[in-house]
Amino acid sequence: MRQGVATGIFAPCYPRRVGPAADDIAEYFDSYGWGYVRAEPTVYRTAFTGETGRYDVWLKVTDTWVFFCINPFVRKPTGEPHGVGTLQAVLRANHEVNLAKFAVDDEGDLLLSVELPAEGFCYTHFCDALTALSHYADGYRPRIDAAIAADQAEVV
Amino acid sequence: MSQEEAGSVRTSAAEIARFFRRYGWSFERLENDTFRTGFRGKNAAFVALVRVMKHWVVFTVNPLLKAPEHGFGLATLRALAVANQHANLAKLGIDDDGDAFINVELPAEGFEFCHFVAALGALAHFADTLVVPLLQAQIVDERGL
Repeated sequence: MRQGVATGIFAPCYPRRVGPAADDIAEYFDSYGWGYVRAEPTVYRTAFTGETGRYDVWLKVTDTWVFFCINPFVRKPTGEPHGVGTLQAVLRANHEVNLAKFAVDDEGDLLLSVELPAEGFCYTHFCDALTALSHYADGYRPRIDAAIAADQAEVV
Repeated sequence: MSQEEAGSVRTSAAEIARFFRRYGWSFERLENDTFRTGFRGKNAAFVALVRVMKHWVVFTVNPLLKAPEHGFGLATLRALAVANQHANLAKLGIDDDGDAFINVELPAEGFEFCHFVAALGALAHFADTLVVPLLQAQIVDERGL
């Protein structure tokens, strides 16, 4: 098999299509029926309350990407980074979820995000992203809380 | 055209084959909906699978890192989890065998060549960039440092 050569993530796209303007996102929110605050010209904040709690969602539009993020999703335990059980739970969850991913941020907190290319981004993708975030936030919170509790018990 | 109609066209396996040819990478078609390709980065060579499903197009390198007998240690797990924050478009995780993988998943609806390029580019870039620190983390775990 002839092998390709990695070209980096910003290879040109032909024909070049413009991604969503930040203003389009406001229309998407209106169509979706969720309230929002436009925190900056390219940054929106919304929220939802699920069975496991209330979550703030940040949405940022750049020339290249559209980011949806719940951060923090779960804060790290006081004074301790997340342990082996929690990290395993999060990384195994990444094998099960579609579109979304769990990660650890620079502060050691857990986040849940969806990233999509700005090019070709449409209302369907907006719906997919918000649906994935709300579904997985609620669906995986009990498992992750249990893993954190187990890690804490081992520390004690 | 409504917003829903604009994004209602799903990509097909035949389109993925055309995208591969246009991108200039060779491929093997393993099954009707699954393709295999490969690439060589600065640090390693990788085999990648591309699978077209009803709702998603998934690009995967698996294993990115084979699990040791007793599973990954804290340093490797933390490196994988932290890498997810910085790897735009790509996702790292652990599969059912305990191996580490990296993938890119995009909606099949509205999937175009530019998405194919972004997905393969992200997969190749982050697989090659992250494999070295992950191997270093694995050594830290093995030596109990």
